[in-house]
Amino acid sequence: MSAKKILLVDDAGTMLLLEQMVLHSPGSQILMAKDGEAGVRAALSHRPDLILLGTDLPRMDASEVCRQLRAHETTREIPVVLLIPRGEDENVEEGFPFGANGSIIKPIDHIELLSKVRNFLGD
Amino acid sequence: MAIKKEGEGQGSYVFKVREDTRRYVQDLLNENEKLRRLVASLESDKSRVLGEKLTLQEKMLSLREELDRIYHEQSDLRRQLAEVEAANQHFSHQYFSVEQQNNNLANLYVASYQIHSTLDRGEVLSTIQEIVVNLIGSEELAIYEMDDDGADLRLVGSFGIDPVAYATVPLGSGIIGKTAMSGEIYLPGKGMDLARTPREANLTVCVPLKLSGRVFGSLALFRLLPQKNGLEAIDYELFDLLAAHAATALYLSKLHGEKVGVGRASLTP
Repeated sequence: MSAKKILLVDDAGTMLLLEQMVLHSPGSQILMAKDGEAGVRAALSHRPDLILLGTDLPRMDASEVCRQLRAHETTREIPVVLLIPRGEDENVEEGFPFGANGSIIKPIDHIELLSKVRNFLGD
Repeated sequence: MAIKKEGEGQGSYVFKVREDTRRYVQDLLNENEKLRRLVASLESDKSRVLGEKLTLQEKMLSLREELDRIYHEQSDLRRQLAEVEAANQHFSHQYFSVEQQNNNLANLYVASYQIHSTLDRGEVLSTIQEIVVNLIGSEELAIYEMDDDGADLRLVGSFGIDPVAYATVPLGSGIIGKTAMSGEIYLPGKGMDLARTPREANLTVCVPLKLSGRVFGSLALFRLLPQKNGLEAIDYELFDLLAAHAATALYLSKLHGEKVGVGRASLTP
């Protein structure tokens, strides 16, 4: 994977560490935030190439994070992939109206995660 | 005079017949010449056609040889392609297997790293919950600790279940109580046919948490997430890891809590 910035937003330290391990590659920059507000702040200041967004976030939920990201000029075009803890279809479908570009269902399949991230980053 | 005229008449007739004959012969000769030329032409054509046929036969032979060579080449290429495809498939399987092993190692590393990254009891419980939810794939779990007198398991953490209904489990009661007594992990379809209590109707796995061989508590997993098609090899590895490391982390966090509590108490005037 070429040098790209990926922002991980999840309140679960386990998920953040796991995603960091799976996505880490030479030259890539992994940014992390543990709640929705911190996620939006990190996105505005670092302008990542991709955002992986957990859905059960403290302080600001995923739909509000997406809404704020889409409202800002600098973050409007950043692709957002939701990490959905449950497997029900309605949750996956609900993910897209509030501006997410894709979703991955937990527990995460690492190969699927890498494949989707590469697709979104154009690698 | 009449005789002469008659003689003249005969001569003229003979002359005419002779002339006719001569012309006829000449015509025959001409016709013969034409036919001779035609035959010569046909002979020439025949010879040319034979030549062409020979050339075509040679070409056809050559093309057949070329075709045979191409067939052989094609056959070789097909064989090589099949070999390359087989090698490719083999490498693909190997790659997938290595990726899977990497993923499993990453899961185990993350689980053990996170579970020992804190001495805060709440964070340890939260990490166990995260491991079960995010790495194993169940959103219904109960974490028990053994009472000091060793008679009951007491619920210290839960997710997705009614904590009141699962508050205590007498040692030896139901699957949770029996696995805590035996120290053996309860897995579905693994030869253990233990009687379930009604609240264990949805129980999938029960992991006794052991410290130095002694059961310290128990981790009960109920329904798996809908997208989980069953337990995988990595899940069993994670159960083994939790059996050993969760107990250690919970025990240390308990000791730490007591020490901090004592420390605070001693500072209290």
